[in-house]
This record gives sequence, C-alpha cells and structure tokens, in this order.
Amino acid sequence: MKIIYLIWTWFTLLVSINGTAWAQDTQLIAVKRKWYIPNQATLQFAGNIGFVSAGLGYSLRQDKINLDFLYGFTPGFEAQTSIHTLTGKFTYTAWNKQYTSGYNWEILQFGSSISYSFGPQFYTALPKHYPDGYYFWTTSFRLVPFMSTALGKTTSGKLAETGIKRVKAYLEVGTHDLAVLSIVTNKALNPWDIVSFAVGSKFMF
Amino acid sequence: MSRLISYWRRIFLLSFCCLLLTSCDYFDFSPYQVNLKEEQRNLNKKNLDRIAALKLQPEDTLRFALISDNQRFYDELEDVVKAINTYSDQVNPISFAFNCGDLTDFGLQEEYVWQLNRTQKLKMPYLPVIGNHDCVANGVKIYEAMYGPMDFSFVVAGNKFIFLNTNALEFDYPVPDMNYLREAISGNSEYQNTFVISHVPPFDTDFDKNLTPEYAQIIHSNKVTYSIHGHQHSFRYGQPFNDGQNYLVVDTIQNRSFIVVTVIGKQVSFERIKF
Repeated sequence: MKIIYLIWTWFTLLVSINGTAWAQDTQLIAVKRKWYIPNQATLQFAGNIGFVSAGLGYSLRQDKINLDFLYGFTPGFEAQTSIHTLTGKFTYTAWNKQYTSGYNWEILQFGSSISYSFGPQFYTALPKHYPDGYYFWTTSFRLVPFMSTALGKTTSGKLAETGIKRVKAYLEVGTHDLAVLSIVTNKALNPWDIVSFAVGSKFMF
Repeated sequence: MSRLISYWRRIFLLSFCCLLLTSCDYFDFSPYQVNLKEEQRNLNKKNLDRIAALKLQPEDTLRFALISDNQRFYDELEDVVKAINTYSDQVNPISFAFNCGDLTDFGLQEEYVWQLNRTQKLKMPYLPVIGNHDCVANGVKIYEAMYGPMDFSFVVAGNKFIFLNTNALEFDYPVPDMNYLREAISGNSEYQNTFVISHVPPFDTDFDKNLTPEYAQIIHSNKVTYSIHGHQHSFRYGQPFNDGQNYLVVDTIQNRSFIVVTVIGKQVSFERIKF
C-alpha cells in the first residue's frame, strides 16, 4: 500500500511541477532540428540500470517510439562497490489516450534496455584463464525488459519558457534476463521475486 | 518568488519520495548491487553464536548435514530444507548444516537472498562455504557482506572445522590461502577430529594445481578426518591421493540427496540420504 501511495505522489508532483497556466503569449519559432540532436531528457530512479540514471534521447514517430541513452549510478552501500552503467533504452507506446486539456496517458508501453556495467569484475568475453564455456553468460551486458505507463502534459507558464514543451512521469515494472532464466526453471520462484519497479520523468524539448 | 519556493519544495518532496522508495524491496538499482538489510548481514558470525549456545560437549554425539551446489535449483532447495528438518525431528537430531558452495548461479544479490530465504527455514544453524559461481561479478562482496570472511574456522565439542575458499579461477592471487590453512590446522592434536570444507576439491582441474601437492600433504600430515567438497555435482568418497586420507564430494541438491555426518568421539561416519 505504501508503494502505491508513494508512486501516486511521484506522479502528481512531477506532472504538477509547472503549476497553473501563466497568462502570457509566447511566440513560437519553428526551427527544424537536425536529426541527431536529442529532443528529450530523462531522469529515472531504480529499474536495474542504476539507483538514479539520467540521459538524453529521441522521441520518434509522434512519440510512439522512444530511444534513450542513460548513464546510471548505483552507490556502493555497505560493500563500497559503486556501479557505473550505460544504458540504451527502447520504449514502444502501444496504447495512448489524448485528453483535450493537454494531458495524455500512455496507458501501455513496453520495451527493453541493454545495459553495460563498467568494472574489472564484469566481463564481456569470458577471460582466457577459464576453460571454454565455463560460464555461459556475460556479466557486463544485461537485457532489461519492462512495461510502463506514462502520464504526460503540455507545459505552460515559466516551464514552457525554458523550452521544455512537455513533461512526462512514468512508472515502470521490469526485470532482467538472468532473473527470467531463474524463474522459468523453478516453481519455487514467482514473478514478484524478479520484478522491480522504476519511476522516472521525461522532459521533451 | 513564491512559485520558486514551491518549485524547490516539490524537488525536496521528490527526493524524499526517492529516499523512502530506497528502503523498499521492489526497487532494484542494479542486478549487481550490494545493498543488504541488517538481518541479512554477517550471518556466519550469528550462526556460530547459535552453535556456541548449543554448548555441545566432546562426549556428545554430534551430527551435521551437508548439501552442495544449490545454484539455480530453488525447488530442490525447498525440498532439501524440509527433508533435513524432518530428519532432524524424526530420525536423529542434527546440530548444524553446511553448504559446500555454489549458493547462486550468477553471483547476484537477489539469488543470495532467494537461497537465504529458503535456508533460513532450517531449524539448525547453517554455514556456507563460497563456491566459484558465488564469486562472479560482485559475488565475493555479497558473500562477505552476507556471511563474512571466505576463510574461517571454529571449534565445536572438540572438533575443528576449517572453511576454505578454493575457487582458484576466480582470483588473481593464489587461492587457497595456504598460510591460512596451515595456521588454522596447527595444533590440531588438541581436537578429536578435524574437517576441512571447501568448494573445489584439490583433485579437480579447477583447483590451482601448483598447490595440490601441498594441500594433500597438509591434509595427510594433520590426519584430517574428511576433506569435504562440492563442485563436481556428483557424490564421491575415497582416497584420491592413495595416502589413507578420505575426501568426500557432496552431490548437487539437484540429484536430490544430502549427507549426514555422525561424530561419536573419534568415530566418524556418514550417511547419504535421498529426498
């Protein structure tokens, strides 16, 4: 129950950041953006890609497809082993609802990230001192599939003046490939054991 | 100005929200995170205190259970825990249980926690030795945070138990630590029996072969009762070095068996139990 309350708070806080409309006419100058210039910034909490991760990305095909590149940091906690992770994230919006008030709800999104963790303890190819095929998986790359739902709002007022056109808050539920592998062969594990939530926000400019 | 204040207040609330979520189980930061709860830390020390509290005497019959290589076999792990508890209640009381290593498959914290949640249902203290799979990625840090040092030893009712990290392929320095083994085993004439527990057996290709002769020599000259191992996934008992020393390899629990060792003074025997 606590989680649901916290998530709801996160949503309302993020979506209401720009507050009520600031009565002012802003002149829009349409500038054709070069294709490689990112058009959104993302900030995410948890979700197997870092305690917090932040980065830039692209909203493509009328926002049906999102491609984000994030850097995630996980603190070391008691073992003092902090983790740096780079993530490429693909999100597809399967079901979107527009509301006249400038709000929209992307009811169902799904996608997957590929994360890369840095450090001597992680390998991409099995180090040479092991016999061939000793461990079948790589530790540096992880596949992180997820489903999400997002609430978006067209900005107005002061926030709009900064160039941010829309803000979004999202809630994600995901897992990672090794956890999936663990659950498929065991009745003793259930989906709650392997899922992890994430919350995040996107600022589209 | 007031808008600015409310903006910062929101940021503050968001951060506070984040902090609250941190303490929640359903938010994973990285598959490789090391972020255990207090009750999941330093468990070998806690279990050794439980063993000490049993106040077992050298003249008491001592029984301990051995399992190994539970890795990704959570169904079997639940079954073996039940089987050991049943054996202890209905056949012969078991004082404590050991795991000969590979508690996890990928060395991830969530796997460590999954096996912990199941082995904590054992009615007796439980002590695991680190296996090679438990070392992968941040595994060593998780083992050390959850259980404690990888090499440790203790005495129960006049019997010495030495737990040793023998996962040579996982470290860039020589493993096992022969100095530790020599030091821990010295003065073993005071004990009625000595047991060495490690994951990779000294006759396995994954053992540091430069250290095999020395290991076998230490086991032999100190008359170790059993050198106990896992890793090979199938039961083995014999004298591989033809020196009169007994080496015991415990089945993976996937083979649905565990071992009960019975110590009556200097008389030691074991029984392999199917579940």
